[in-house]
Amino acid sequence: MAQLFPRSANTIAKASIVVGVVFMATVGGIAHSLDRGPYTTNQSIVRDQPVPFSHEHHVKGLGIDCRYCHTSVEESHFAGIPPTKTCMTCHSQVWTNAEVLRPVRESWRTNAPLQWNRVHDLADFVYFNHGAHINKGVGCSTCHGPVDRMPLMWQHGALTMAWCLECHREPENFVRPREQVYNMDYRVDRDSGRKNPDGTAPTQAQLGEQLVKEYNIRKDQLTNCSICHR
Amino acid sequence: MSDRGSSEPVTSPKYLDLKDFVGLKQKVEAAVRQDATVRRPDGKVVYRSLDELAGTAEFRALVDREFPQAASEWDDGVSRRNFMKLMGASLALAGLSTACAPKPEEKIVPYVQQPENIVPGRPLFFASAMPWMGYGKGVVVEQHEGRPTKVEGNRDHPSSRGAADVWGQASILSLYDPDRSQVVTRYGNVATWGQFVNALGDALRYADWQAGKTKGRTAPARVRILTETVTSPTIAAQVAALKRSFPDLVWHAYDAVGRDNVLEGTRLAFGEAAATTAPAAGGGRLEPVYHFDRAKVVVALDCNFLTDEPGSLRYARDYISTRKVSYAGRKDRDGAGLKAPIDVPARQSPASRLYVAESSPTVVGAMADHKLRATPDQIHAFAAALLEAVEHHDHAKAATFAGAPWFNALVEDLTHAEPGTTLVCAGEYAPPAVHVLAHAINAKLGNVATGPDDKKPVSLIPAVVANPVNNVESITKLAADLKADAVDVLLVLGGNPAYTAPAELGFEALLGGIYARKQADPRPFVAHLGMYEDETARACEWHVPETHYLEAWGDVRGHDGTASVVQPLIAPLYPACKSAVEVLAAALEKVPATGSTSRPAYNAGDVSTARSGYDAVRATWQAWQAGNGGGDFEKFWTLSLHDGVIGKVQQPKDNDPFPPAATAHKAVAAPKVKDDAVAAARKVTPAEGLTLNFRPDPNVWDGAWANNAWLQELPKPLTKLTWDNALLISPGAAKDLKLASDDKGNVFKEKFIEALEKTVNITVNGQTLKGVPVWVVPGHPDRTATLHLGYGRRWAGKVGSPNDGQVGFDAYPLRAGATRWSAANAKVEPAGGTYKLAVTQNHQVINHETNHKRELVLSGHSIDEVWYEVATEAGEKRGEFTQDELAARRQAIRNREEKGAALPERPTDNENLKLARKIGLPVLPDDPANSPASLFPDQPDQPAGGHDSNYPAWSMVIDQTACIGCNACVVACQAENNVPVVGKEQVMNEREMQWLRIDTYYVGKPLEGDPDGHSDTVDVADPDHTFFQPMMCVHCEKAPCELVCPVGATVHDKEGLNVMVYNRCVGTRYCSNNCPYKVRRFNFLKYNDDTTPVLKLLRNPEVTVRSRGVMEKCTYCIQRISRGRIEAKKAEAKFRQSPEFAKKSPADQSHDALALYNAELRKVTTACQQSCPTEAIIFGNMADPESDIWKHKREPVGFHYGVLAELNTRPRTTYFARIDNPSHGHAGHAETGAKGGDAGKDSHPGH
Repeated sequence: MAQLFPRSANTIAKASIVVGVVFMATVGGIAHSLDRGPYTTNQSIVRDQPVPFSHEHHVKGLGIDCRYCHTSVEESHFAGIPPTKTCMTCHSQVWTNAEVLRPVRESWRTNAPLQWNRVHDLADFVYFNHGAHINKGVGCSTCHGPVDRMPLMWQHGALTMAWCLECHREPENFVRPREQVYNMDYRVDRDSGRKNPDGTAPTQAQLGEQLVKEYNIRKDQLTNCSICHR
Repeated sequence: MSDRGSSEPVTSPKYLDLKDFVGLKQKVEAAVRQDATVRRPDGKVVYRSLDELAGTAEFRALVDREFPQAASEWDDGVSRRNFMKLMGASLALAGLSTACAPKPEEKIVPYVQQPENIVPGRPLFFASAMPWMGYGKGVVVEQHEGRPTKVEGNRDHPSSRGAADVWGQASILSLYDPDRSQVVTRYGNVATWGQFVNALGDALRYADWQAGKTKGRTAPARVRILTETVTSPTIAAQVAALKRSFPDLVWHAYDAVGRDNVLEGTRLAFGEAAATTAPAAGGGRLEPVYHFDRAKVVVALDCNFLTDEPGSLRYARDYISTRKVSYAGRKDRDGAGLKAPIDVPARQSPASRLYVAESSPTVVGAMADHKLRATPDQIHAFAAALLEAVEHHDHAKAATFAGAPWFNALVEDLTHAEPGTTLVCAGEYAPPAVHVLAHAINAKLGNVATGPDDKKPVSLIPAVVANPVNNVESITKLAADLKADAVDVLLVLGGNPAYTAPAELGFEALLGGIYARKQADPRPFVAHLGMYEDETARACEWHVPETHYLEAWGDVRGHDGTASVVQPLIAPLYPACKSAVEVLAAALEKVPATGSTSRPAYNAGDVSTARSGYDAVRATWQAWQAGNGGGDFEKFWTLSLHDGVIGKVQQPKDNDPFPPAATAHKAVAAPKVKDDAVAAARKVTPAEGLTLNFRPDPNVWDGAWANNAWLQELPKPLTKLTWDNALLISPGAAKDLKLASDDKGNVFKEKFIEALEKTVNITVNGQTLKGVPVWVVPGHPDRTATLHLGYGRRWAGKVGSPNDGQVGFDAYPLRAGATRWSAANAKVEPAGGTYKLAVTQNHQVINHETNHKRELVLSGHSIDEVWYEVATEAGEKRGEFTQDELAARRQAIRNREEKGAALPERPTDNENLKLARKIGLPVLPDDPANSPASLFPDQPDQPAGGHDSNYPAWSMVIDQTACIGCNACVVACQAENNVPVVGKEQVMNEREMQWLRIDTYYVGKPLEGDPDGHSDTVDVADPDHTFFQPMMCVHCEKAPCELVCPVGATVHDKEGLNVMVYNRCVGTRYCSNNCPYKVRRFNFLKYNDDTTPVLKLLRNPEVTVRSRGVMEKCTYCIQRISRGRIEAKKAEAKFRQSPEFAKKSPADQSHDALALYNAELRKVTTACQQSCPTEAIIFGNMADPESDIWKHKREPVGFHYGVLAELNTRPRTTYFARIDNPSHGHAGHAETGAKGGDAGKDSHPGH
């Protein structure tokens, strides 16, 4: 019986294996990056806002504290978005005719609230609480990134569950002294205000363990489902 | 070991012949039936339904299965093939659309100006009061960023004391009901409020003018106002002001339930003369207020004081406070670690005793120690006989009362008690004559207070009702006037008289007649104010949508007259909505009381000048305050709003932590009961034939709540019926009506289930109601039948009248004014059909057999006595004691109680417990002796001594002695946890979603002629006990559900909670299958309505709204635990930062920080616990020795048990058995028990 396939079939067969593997890897890679990448998580995507509010200008440039606007961050699960009145405390005096601030003045005049586009949006079955985190020494910039260098806001972390668990499994890698929570440029060796017994500045590994103990962070409990989901 | 390798010889098969086979089958069936009957050691049988008693195969299947057959299929006619096609397509699309799509964009909308006190994300709480039957019940309402989400009781309010009932809890759903009326209408066409006000003003003025001008009438316009029961001082003042312009104005009142018999009873007993002693507030009528905490013996004559009275929440709290015999419960009463102290002496007083005579089964009857099931005329005779016996003051002379073998014991209890320590109460459902008799007995026994400071069980106060007219007379007069064309303007402010008015009046037609006549004659002007476009709204010319009580200003008085401001929590959802106060203010504005045509300016002290509800209410109380001490009104007003009580005593003294508020009605000196009234009341007219009882429905009441789906789907107490009403009859009546077959001249319990759901035609007062299904209720009196009001609504809304159809059967056409509560000579004939009812009695049946092998109903009047029974019985069996020693022990207990000895500090100090230890009984439910080794892994930080644990151990105790089965917890849970309703069809498929159910069990004695104790015959007609067992997830420490979940969606957390992770759940339902308690609920369909916009406002934002395909169950209110935990962590963090913390030693530091943490956690309550009127549910951290739950958990076994604990699931929720306190002084009760005998002959505890 004559050969059914030409010799080239061997090459094609071998090549098709390679092509198949590459194809599947590509599909897998695309799927993964779609699922875990900014397309789904919105990480690093700069959001347009009705008023191009610049955290960079207000935080770094003017040195306004986080809590001036996000008033309930220590009290509530919700950090709070400032009412129009907070904007108007300054902008009734400065930049009173600026075109970019027209929506703010409009809101003040008509008593219709501003509608901001939400940047950090957790799934609805997650119950995150700002107050608990602030009180246990998790810094703003740990999750929100260098807000003071964001002209327009973007989402710094992936906000996936794996991302949350990085800290919930090992909080010692992230906690800082409570008085440093609002420090946007926090560096453990420079800003912690603590010293090792030998007088050297502590590393995060050294300080973290100590703070977990000091703040009585119930580490075993942090990975319980019921801590975030109800 | 395989079968193939077996070397056993193979026996040749034996062929069964057919005869053998039939015999075998009968044996198996008999065994199954035997198995189904749960017998207690004393030979009594415990059952939860007639099906269970009958031991039907269906019932067995229900015990074994999680859901009934085919409940897991979606049986609605969609073929499997079509279903697969649809699902295939939607799955594919779902995969495309949800998995890869980016998250939808959301907006954040801040305030323009943030209101004061609002912290975004944190709820606020405001005090208000809910009008119910016209009376107020104090509430505290939770509000999230301006939207009310949950109603709780107000601890400072005398009618609530922190509890909220089913209506209070469900009222939040009514606020957001999408079917509420939203616009003003005239002849059904949209109109505006302005048009209405103008038309009203024109009508008033035109009528006034015409009356003076023409038709020979000299009297001014005939204005009529029709309301339900009203206690509001503002409305009363407004009507009085209106009356100055229209001297002919008549204020009619008609309430389908009302207080006619109560008020008529006091009028007959004390006469109109009472008017001279009472201030004008009561209109000359008196109203009794009861203090159950001051009574040691209570006799209730057709009186559902636990749920149906305006003061019921308070009454239930007070009554149960005299029944709690556990150490922890008693400790609570003494004020240690207590939520709300109760003014009872802090000593080991024996439990009170409750005698009940009732004509329709209620929760009061279920709580009774002795119960008379009787027709209303028999109850009348009973009351007369009781008065006779009490007057003679010699129980030996008292004749035995038929049906109440304990009658002599009752007389003995009453006459031998100290004067002023007993209480006889008659309910609205008893005729006025019975009230007169009750007043006479109370007077005879010295139970009536002689003034405000006299602490007696009964005080008489000037009627709280602002317009105390006889409802039936009042509406009959109005109907006559309407018929005679003698009405110019009629304002129907609230209520639904077209549906509820006495049948013979044809009230709807009268209003409808006006409608038809309208074009020719502009009179009368008829307007209706109501929350729904209901039957009355459709009959009236004008309809104005009414505000919900959470939307408008008003005021209301509680059961003892204490006034509260009804404070709005939200602006009206629909701007057209107005309150009764606002409608009257508009009328006053159009026709000023001064008679001048110009509008007077607002005068802060004069209600008639107020234009808004707020001004009117303020004006009323400014005037009141000016006449009652005066002072800074703003401060007074702010305090009144804050407290939810007007005139609260701000600094109560220690000996009276809850003194009556300044606005409470003061008790009058009890007038003498009139002899001629008593003489007349003694005459009893026997009723002929079958008596049909009309009763307000325990859920939808008079029909006003018919469109509230939470209440429609709530299993009614005792019957467990949902979404319908039915004719409730006794087993005997079922036999008499030939609904159940009756062969061999014997009552076979199997036969009663034949009667269930059979339809009958009811004829009474010449009216016939056809096709009503029958439901047989154990314990229902014979020769009576009960039909609940409030169903068969034609225009209730989408829930109460789906697709313009009806839910249930309308009883009002049968109900005449003269036979409001019971009609004799009713004819009931089988109609030959059946009607499917959604009854949850047999749903989620647990295998309670092993449970009741232990006795769940114990008896004894104190915990010592209960323990005496438990410990000595065990000791006697082991030969530890002689009979003499036992008698001596019992006497010692009695002696100690007589002296009112203080409680021992620790329950374990009790000598009975020491004794128990000695004879080797386990003392605590979690004694190691009680829990054998388990294959299940140990949970971390189990409470075995772990008091220094860094983690709390959440747990619960439910006291069945205190549970009155009122269902408040079920609705509270539904409101708190966003639990959906599923509808009647789904309930019939056993898919109801309530996380908490109340299992009701009956304990029946075997009938005579049951010598072998194996017969199926049980006295279902008269159960010895009825008790309730609230059942929700018990949070097993070794939870069977967790092991079978393939995706780890149900797991334990560090705090001992069995948590449900919705986003992991894939819906295998294995967990539910493996749960012996059957407390898990599965979303077979998407039950939560998340598309109707107004319902979005209703949700608790702290709790996930579950979708289809997800399992759910009680979480111990994990959102509240989380809130508590976060607050505790914040407090701990603050403490750890403080300078004094740094000064402490390291050991003290961690100890004090943990103590602070635990103290914060002690504030956590579950929704069910918070709503419970009797504090039957205790919840907390049992690793904290200072918590209430720690004390409760240390109650000894014997009456403290875990349900199905023999499965070694180590449930975190444990139960206290129901402890009854029957009299030992009579022969009827104790001897029926297997171990009766001696106990029955025992001397009475009072001696």
